[in-house]
Amino acid sequence: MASTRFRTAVAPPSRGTVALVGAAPARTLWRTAARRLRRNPPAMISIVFLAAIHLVAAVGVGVLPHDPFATNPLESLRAGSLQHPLGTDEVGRDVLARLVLGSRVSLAVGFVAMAISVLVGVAVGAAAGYLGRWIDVVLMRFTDAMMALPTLFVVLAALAVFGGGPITATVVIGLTAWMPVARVVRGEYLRWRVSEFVDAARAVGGSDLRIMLRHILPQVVPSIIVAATLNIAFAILTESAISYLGLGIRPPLPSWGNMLQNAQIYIWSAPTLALYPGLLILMTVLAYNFLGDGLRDALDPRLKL
Amino acid sequence: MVSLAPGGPAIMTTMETTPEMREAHRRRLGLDQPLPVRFVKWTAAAVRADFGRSFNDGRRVGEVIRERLPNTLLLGGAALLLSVLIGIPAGIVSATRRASPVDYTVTFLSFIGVSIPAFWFAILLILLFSVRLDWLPASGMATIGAPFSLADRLLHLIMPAFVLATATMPGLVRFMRSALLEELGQDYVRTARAKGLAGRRVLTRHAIRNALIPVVTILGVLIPRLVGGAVITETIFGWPGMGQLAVASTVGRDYPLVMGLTVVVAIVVVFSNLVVDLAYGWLDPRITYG
Repeated sequence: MASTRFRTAVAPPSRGTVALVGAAPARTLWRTAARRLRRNPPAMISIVFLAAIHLVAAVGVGVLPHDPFATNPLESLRAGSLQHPLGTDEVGRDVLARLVLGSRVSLAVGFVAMAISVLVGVAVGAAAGYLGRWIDVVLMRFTDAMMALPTLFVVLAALAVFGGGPITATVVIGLTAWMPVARVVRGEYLRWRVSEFVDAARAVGGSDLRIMLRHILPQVVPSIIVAATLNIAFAILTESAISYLGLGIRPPLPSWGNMLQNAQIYIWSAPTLALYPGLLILMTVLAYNFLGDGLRDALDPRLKL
Repeated sequence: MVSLAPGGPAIMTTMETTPEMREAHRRRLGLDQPLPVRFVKWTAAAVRADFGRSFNDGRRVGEVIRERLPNTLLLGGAALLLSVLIGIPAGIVSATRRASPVDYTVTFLSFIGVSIPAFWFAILLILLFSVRLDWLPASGMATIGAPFSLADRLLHLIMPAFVLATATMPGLVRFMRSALLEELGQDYVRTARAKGLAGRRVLTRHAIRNALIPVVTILGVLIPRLVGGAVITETIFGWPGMGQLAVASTVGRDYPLVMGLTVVVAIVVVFSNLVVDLAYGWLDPRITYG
């Protein structure tokens, strides 16, 4: 509570007076952000698209008539028809059903990997920014070193060690994406560490851990949301790449990436097979990037007026 | 660390052998020794630039990598050149015509660039330029059987370099755009305008030159991205470089090769970052070292 009250002290008088009387200033931030976001057409279209694709991924598998694993050699590589709207793949499985299940797999990997990267990034960034001194130096040099390494080489080396599969792939992707989060969070902790509300919290006997989590963390949430949104985009893209290489999600379980694995072989006879999964990846990643960018503009406290 | 993987090369290479033979094979590759011992031995050899022999064909890892490194450098260099040649002008146009249709188009395209899966983009390009139009070769570095010619090499280079460049170009465009916008808001730009300099000249002689300086630093960020992107690009286009080798050796659990590649890639990245840092100091006299 102390944290939020002090924050409004720097807000313009008109809104500041209202806030001081008792309205939660955090709501004002979110309301301003929502208003700004509504004036950003790419971000709004992205939200609608993302809502749709997540809904389909969540409930679509049960609704569709076809089993995504059922093969039928007699019906292989068919073009779109009434029975199979997007056609069938090389072993006669319904492409639409596999795309829907693949959406669930790819989005789940994206979310979990994002959660891992945010947890690690916030922990590292908060420790470096708040504790400072040699801890900061060590943690940030490590972050820089990780950033300098090409992601896919690291991912490949890690997969060579731990083997492929959905769980290792997800964890490895998460562990290659935390660095930007750590940098942003560190910057925020450096900034808030010297603020008055932190001094106040310390004066009444708040421990370092309590100050980091209860007082500073809420201030950092907007930045974390932006970084998390962009990280989902990164994670989905990376998952698709390693699954395409045959090292991530393995068939028969479909993901957008591994559905493209065989598409290259049938590029002559069934080019549409290569079209749909890639288009879904592009649109979903694009939407998350637009949304992340829109959120960054909307949540930027410097543009508060 | 890499050798913690389950399975292991001994099992991969000897599918139908007795346990005794498998054991002998493991001993020959040195896999019977405990991990810390192997790691210390590997490190001791690696600092003398000896990465051991590939499990796959017994050739020296250094030799295999030396064969592949120039190909990756060629591809990466071409992609970097493409991103700079297209990205910088696009960023400049975007900044000078801010909030115009041109700016929106450039911004939208750069969003597409970061969001498009490289392998899918590559497949689309192959579909269009190799399958439909038959203008460009779909894979490899040279036409099989034909003698080396520069034109042939360039034809093979176009698509992979372009695909690789799409990953790095958007960052360059957006950075150039914001750097130039910042410079255009500076006092010296207003002064130059005030003393009667033509708008075009203010831009080329003053603002762009200053905006380019910070752009050099972003090259340090782009280089690891180029090398990472090479994994996908080389695999799809059958370009015999280090990225393709990394995929093959990961699939085949060729630990010495995976380790050697990771070390070499790290060295390349660190070295190019050093060059970028030095170039920055040279371009901007305000920066001093030491």
